[in-house]
Amino acid sequence: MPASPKRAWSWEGASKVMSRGFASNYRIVLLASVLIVSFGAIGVRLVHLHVIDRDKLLPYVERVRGQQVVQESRRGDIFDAKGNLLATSQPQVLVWVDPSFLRPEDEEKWPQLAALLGRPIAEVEQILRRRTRMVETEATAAVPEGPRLAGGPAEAGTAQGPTVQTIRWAKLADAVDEATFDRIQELGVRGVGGDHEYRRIYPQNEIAAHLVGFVNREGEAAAGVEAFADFYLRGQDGWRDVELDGRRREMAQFRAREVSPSDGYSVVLSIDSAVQFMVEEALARIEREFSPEGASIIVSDARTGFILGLGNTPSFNLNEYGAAAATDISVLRNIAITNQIDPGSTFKIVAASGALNEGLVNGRSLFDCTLEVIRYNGRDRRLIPDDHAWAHPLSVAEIISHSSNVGAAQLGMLLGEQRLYDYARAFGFGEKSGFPFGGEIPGMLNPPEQWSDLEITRIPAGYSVSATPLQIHYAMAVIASGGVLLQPQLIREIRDAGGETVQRFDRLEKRRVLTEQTAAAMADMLMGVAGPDGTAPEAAIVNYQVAGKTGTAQKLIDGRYSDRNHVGSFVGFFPASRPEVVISVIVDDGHPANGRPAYGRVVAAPAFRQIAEQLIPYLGVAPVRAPTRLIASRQEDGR
Amino acid sequence: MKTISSKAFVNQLLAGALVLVCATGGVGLGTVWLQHQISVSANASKSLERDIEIISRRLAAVTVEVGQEQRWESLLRRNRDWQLGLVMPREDVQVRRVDIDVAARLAGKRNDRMLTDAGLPETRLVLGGGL
Repeated sequence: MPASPKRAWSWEGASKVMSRGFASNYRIVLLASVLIVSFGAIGVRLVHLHVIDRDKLLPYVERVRGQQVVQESRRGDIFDAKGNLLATSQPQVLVWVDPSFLRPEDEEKWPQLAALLGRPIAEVEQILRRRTRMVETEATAAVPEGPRLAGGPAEAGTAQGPTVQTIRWAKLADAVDEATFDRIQELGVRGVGGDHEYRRIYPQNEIAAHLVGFVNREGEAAAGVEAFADFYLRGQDGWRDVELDGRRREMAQFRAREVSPSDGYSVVLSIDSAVQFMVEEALARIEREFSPEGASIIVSDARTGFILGLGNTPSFNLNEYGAAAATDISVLRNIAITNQIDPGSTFKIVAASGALNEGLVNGRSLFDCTLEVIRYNGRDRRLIPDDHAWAHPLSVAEIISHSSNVGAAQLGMLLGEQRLYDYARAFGFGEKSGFPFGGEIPGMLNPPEQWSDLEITRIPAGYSVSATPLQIHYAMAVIASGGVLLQPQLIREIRDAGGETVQRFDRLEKRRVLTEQTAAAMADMLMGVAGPDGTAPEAAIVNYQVAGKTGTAQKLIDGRYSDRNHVGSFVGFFPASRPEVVISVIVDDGHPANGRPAYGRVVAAPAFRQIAEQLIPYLGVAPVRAPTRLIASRQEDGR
Repeated sequence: MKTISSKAFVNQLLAGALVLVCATGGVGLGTVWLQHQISVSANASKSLERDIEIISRRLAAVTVEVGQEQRWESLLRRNRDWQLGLVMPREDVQVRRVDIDVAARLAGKRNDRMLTDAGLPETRLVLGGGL
């Protein structure tokens, strides 16, 4: 079979074939014309929409399709020194309903919904069935008065008087946990939804309430560490621009700009929940036994000044601060820094330390403490009498251990007004301690030029001067730290959201007040207070050297010092020759059984001992058998 | 000389337009498919973000529960309810303070026998060899 000749493809040939198929028909011309006209019309419309009407239409499109979604950040946590959680943010769901979406067939699920929400069915049903509400609208246009139906939010300036408005959102519950909300969603009641949010919660309830502080319902840090460290704790909310489809769902592919949220930093405090618990227990006992007007206990590290525990009574539950504030707002105050009291005999350490530090007296100096009047700067000054009549002159150590007002006055006079004032200021009286947790007051310590003739006899004994419990505590801590006034501190570390430490705080010295030798000598003398002949043998602990000072100040009531109302205190540290812990117990207007006066030894010293005995095993404080600090310092000096 | 007729030219134009439409349509369809894939990926990413957020929230909720259970009141109640009998050690009864250097004492205890004759086997040297 002969092979058919191959015909090469040519443009001309193809044209001929095509000329027979398409172009010969006029209809193709018509179709082409229609197509061109149609495309032309579409093009004109597009130019109209995209160029001519662009400025008018673009805002509308952006408003309808575009949305900025805020991504909530999580506030940082607050931990104690051992990593126990003191404040955190708990995820919760605010459950709401859009009644216009409710279906009749879901009504049988309403009882289950009510049970999950923890509300009576009648209440829930009332919310679900209510479809409209009356609203007052402002008016500018003259519209006939009377109810009318509005489909959405009230249109301002269209009507006067009450308007019926369709309810599109009603709250069902505002603190539903995630697991419960999952079960609510499983019910499948259409129209019921939820907004996820974080709510601040305090797992330890009232523990360290005045230190931790709280965040109010508006999310603003209101007190304590929450307020002070808010800069670190609060996170930075994120946001993103999104576009929504016709069903108001986000079209993820059109996310334009996005800033991720950054969670807040965590704050690690120096307080230890265990120590704090001991403090709170002791306060509860004081409250039970003495029903005081108020009481404060402070425990700090003698070497660093960091606070290990601080509590007040009355106190409150951080998770119910609103209820506490409604009952008595004063319970929210941290009275350890906001209240000033007469320090009483605890102030005697100032005059004694000053006189020792200046070399005006030594361990062998004796003072006649039976005097009633003393001549000073050419004038007779009446002294505050002591409770006891002393059979012999008292040494400086005995003045302290017996808490002699007459002896303290003589020590003050040896120093003179200016030096006594300077030492009091150096110990931190009359100035804010720098404890930055809101409402701290500086106390009262007038300069010498404002003193009356009697004040040189009163101030050394702790009268005519006022101080906060924290100031009294850190004044005693000067002796415990070896003569240095330390900065009261509460925050140990700042950690980022990943747990990495970004800032660490260390011991901070404010100034040196006494030489180390003077501080050691004072510590030895203060041991006598808890000794058998001291004013507070109740504070003594077997095998441990306890140094401290009692204080019992009469309260100034209606301009007069009261014989029945006292501020009793015990401020001390241990072991005396190697101080590790400083403890202050201050009880304002306690009422011991049998009508006894609220002396420091009665209302405060037992609490000191209670806490100290618990701290010894907990902190592993060893008894001191080595030479005391005083002996060691004397050995160093070759004395 | 042969010339291309006007009808043939129109036909060629239409054929070219058809090819162009097909090519453009192909590109368009490809773009649509690409857009769809972008949308699928974006939605998958969004879903993962939501899952991570849910897990973070659950984790936070569990952290709160753990924190509440570690309250001192809760621990004391558990100690009482479960009759664990856990108490602080008493300094005067249960704690025995060791004043010496514990490391030196343990080292001494370990090395004493090595460094004295007491721990060594008896050895006798004989002249000329042998033990």
